[in-house]
Amino acid sequence: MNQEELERIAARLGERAAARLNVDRTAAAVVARLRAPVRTAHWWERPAVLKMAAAVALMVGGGTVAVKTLRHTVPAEASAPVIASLQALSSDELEEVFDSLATDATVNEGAPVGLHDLTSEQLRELLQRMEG
Amino acid sequence: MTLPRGGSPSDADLIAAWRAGDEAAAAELVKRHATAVARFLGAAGAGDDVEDLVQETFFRAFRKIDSYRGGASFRTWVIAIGSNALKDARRRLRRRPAIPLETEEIPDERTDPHAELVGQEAEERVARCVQQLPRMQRDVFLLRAQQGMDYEDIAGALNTTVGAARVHFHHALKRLKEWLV
Repeated sequence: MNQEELERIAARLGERAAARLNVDRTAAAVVARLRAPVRTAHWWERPAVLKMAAAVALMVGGGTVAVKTLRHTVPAEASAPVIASLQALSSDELEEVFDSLATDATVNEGAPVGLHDLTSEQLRELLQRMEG
Repeated sequence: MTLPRGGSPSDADLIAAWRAGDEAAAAELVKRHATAVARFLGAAGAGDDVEDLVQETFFRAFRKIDSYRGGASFRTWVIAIGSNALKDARRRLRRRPAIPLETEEIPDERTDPHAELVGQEAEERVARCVQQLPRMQRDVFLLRAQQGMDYEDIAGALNTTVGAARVHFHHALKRLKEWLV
């Protein structure tokens, strides 16, 4: 399609939409709407206020999530050497490590806990934490 | 304010009369430009909502008539408002299926039904492509090719420069030619 034909067709675009338009009815409807009293928005309905409220909510929500996440996350770079050295241990050595962790738990919480006292779920959780 | 006697009042006269509270002047401006606005909106993809959108466009225009400084013709300025109204309507209806292209049959007044059909198909192809253009390119293209506005007028209504308007038109034309091969 060449430019001349394209512009000729473009000049005709929308003719069917315009043919469906009732101009008198539209003019009357516009005037009727203009007559209606203007409802002024309350201060809290103004777009600027709504945007500001949304931004504050996002900041508070995002901040809370970020703080909670950071508290419970060991940085990957910090856990990487630990995982590497654990992988190098034999099963007996691993057992010793678990026992020592269990001893730490006893000191911290006052209740005697050994590796054998852990349920399979607790053991899985412990391993997951160690993996970071 | 009273309209000048004799002859048809200019848009500027009607705008001044509306600013002074003359509803008949507002109605006259709608009657004068509604068809052009409807053609623009129809080509831009307004589908079956054209009448509502034309109404919304003029309502917005009269509500903010004080911001009309005469940098562009009243018609071009109103069409630019119509483009915004269409964008807002699409945003509200985003979850609905795509706005259908005009497919309604209109009475065939030409003598050759085949030529009419071919012409209609070509129009629909062009319309579909125009609606795929970025908004600024689409608006500049339609204002220039469909409404016959000059670049100064288009630039004034769309808050851009004459040079930028020319570039948008050029890009629109280039894309349309590529798509319509």
